Amino acid sequence: MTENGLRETQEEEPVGKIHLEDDDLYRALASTRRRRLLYILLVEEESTVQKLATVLTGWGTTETGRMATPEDRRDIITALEHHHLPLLAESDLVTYDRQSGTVALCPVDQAVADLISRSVESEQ
Amino acid sequence: MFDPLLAEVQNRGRQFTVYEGEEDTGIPSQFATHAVSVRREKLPAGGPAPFVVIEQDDEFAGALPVDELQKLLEPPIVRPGEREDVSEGFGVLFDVLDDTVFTAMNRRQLLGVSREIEDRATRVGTGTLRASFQNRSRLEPQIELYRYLASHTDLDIHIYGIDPDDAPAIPGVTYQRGEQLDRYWSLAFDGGGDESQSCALVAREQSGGYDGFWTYDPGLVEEILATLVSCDGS
Repeated sequence: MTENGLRETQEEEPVGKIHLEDDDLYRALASTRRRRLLYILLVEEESTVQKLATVLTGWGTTETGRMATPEDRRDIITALEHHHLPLLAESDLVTYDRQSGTVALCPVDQAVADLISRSVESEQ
Repeated sequence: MFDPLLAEVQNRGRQFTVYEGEEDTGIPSQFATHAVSVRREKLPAGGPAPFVVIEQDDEFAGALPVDELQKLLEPPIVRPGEREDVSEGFGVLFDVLDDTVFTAMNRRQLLGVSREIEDRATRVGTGTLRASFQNRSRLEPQIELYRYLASHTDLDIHIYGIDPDDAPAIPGVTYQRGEQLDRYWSLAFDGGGDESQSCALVAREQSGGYDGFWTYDPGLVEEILATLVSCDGS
């Protein structure tokens, strides 16, 4: 697909606020944890910080091969709440309600969704 | 008599969640005979390898990959010695493995489990063995075995549920009256000073057979022994 073709597609079906050419997208995808979080949300659409932390903790054990502890998961919750989720919310990739802990994926172009999937699946 | 204990074992607040892709890991069926509720969550095909999240009373206790869990489940299951040193997830996992729950077991199957416990007590040769029988006729096929245990080991053997005045004399075996035991089949060995050898069985007769559990959890074995001691009406 040519660059023009891509632009036209997006103009015909504008989905969400973030597109392939936005620098924010690449900043968001610069961390393994954020890529995985977005990947989980592609399937779940909406989740909570608690649930996301559980899945990310379990995912981590598949690489270390050791039993994860409640402390491992607490560290992930802290990193999500104080770093990753605010950054993703600022990039208009997710909405994050601090009070309820609800996290939802913002509507994204298929091209963005594909990029998120590929960025994770290429690591596996 | 054992109803509170049976209810407690069935519902100990443990939850495993298996995150798996298209491929069936077989984990739910491997835990079918343990007191743990196992549910599945779907992982996308291109996502991580399958893993299991372990929860106790709705709190995250640990997570580990399915292939590591499978290695742990291969017999012989090596249990950590000092539970205090073990991370929470392993603690819950081994507690789950300590208890085997069953429904609709017949007498022959229960005799098999009982034999395991009696064999262990025989090998250790010391300590206390407490057994309850629903009535005298249930003890009769076991008399020779108990005669052997009493004469060939230093076990302290107590039999509950049969009127001592009506019981067959077995030198070395003490009969205790035991109230409200007519529905239960129980047997417990304290390990003879070695906690890792303690084991017990509790079953309740229902219309379709026996429901219950057997356990290698020293704390639970202690509770079963204490329940038997407390039901001695004499």
